[in-house]
Amino acid sequence: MPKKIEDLSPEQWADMRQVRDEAYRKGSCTALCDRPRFEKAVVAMYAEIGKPAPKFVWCPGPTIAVVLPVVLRNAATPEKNKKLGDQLRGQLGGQLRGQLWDQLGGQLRGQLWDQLRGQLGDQLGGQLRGQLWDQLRGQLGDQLGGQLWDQLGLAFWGGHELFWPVYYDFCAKVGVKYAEVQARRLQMWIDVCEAGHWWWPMEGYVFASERPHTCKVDDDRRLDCEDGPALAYHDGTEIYAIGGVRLEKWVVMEPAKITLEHIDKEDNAEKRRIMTQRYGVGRYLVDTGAKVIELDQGGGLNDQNSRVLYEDKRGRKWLEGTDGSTGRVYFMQVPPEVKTCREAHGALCGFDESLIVSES
Amino acid sequence: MQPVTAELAHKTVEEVASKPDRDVRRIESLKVGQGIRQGDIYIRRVRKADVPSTKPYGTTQLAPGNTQGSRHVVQGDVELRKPSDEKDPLQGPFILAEERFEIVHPEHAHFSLPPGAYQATYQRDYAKEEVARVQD
Repeated sequence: MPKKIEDLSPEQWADMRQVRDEAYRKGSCTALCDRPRFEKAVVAMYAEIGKPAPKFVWCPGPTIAVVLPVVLRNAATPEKNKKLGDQLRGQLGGQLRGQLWDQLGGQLRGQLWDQLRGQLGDQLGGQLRGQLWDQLRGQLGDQLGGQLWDQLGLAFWGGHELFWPVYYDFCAKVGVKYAEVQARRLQMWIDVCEAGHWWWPMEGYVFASERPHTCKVDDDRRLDCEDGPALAYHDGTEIYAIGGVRLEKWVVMEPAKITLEHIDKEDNAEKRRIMTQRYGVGRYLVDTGAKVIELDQGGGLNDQNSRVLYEDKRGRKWLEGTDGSTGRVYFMQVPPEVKTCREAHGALCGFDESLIVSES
Repeated sequence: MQPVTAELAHKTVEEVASKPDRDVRRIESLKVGQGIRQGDIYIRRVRKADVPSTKPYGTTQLAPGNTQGSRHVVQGDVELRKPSDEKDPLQGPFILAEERFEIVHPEHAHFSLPPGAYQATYQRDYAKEEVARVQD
């Protein structure tokens, strides 16, 4: 057995970061799908498990792609389609892992898993796929029930699952050898994921969704847009989100409609936090009759801006401070146990503010 | 987190350097433990012996991100090392300086700091359930 690969050169690590960024770009792409490349790869996958080439039904977005097969009363039963999906995943995606484990040292495998598959998996799979899945499950579950739930469960995720083929492909680039058949099948997955979006394999048919026309994320690659949908498709499927938190459309588009009652009735802490921010934390504190716990003249340094420590009716405490350079006023949540502005600042920075000799 | 590229850091320095009338606060000396605050980041003096032998930080921008608020940039002949726990979102890089150096920012007054060992740390965002740094 050849010696295991235990580490990568600095150039290979740099290459890994480039591969990761490129994969994210492809997986979150908003251009139209590369239909010829996608269809060619899917036909090859069907052939690989002994199935004839399917017909392709392209849909403008995932909602139509889920609903259409059910409405059309597709001849194949969900059981048969599930079996087909299991075959595609099991036969064409299997065995790569075993070959990898034999050839890659444990520590390196873990590092690559964390930094390549893990990070991409969080961003493409956890964030984009997960949010879309939750959105579709919510909106479709309310409408037609069981059949659509079954159909949704048969989805393949195209670019949103590019994280795992890219991981295996990068390992091949640094020296892992796959058997010829596995390498060929891996390339099919790469083609399908790079060229297409969510798709539903069935007996004789493939229903495929076009990519979104809008995909907006923040620095952490979480869905984020404060003046429109963060993810939007040509069939009208939309997700509104701020900082990766899915919100109702009106919370994003019409924040003036948010009331104290809306905020108080919201059970989800993250949604409540964002609704409070959009309402205006200062306004919220005033309107809820928040108590002023302490007011001081700052830490005694350069700009002498006053600070206020509040407690709102939920028992949360907030430090209001003014940035000496920009003049912007910030409301920062602080731990409930603090009793003074000084303690609040200490909790924010992790040490006593008397150690700070100058601020800007 | 989006990577901070050398190109981004370079752009930032250019942007900042284009404001010649920027207020520079010169700090003559700092004891170990003392530090300065520039916006939402803190630069504190540490013992040189406490600086870990970690890998180079790879950029002169002290706070991750590509927003204007994150552009706290070191200027000068310094060595920047990664924090000992890269997964701790409140820990920034270590700075080893043999000569006086500056921390610049497009919106905040710059700082001129004396030679020595330092660490950048970030404010905690208590509005999030998990430990997270404040981002602006």
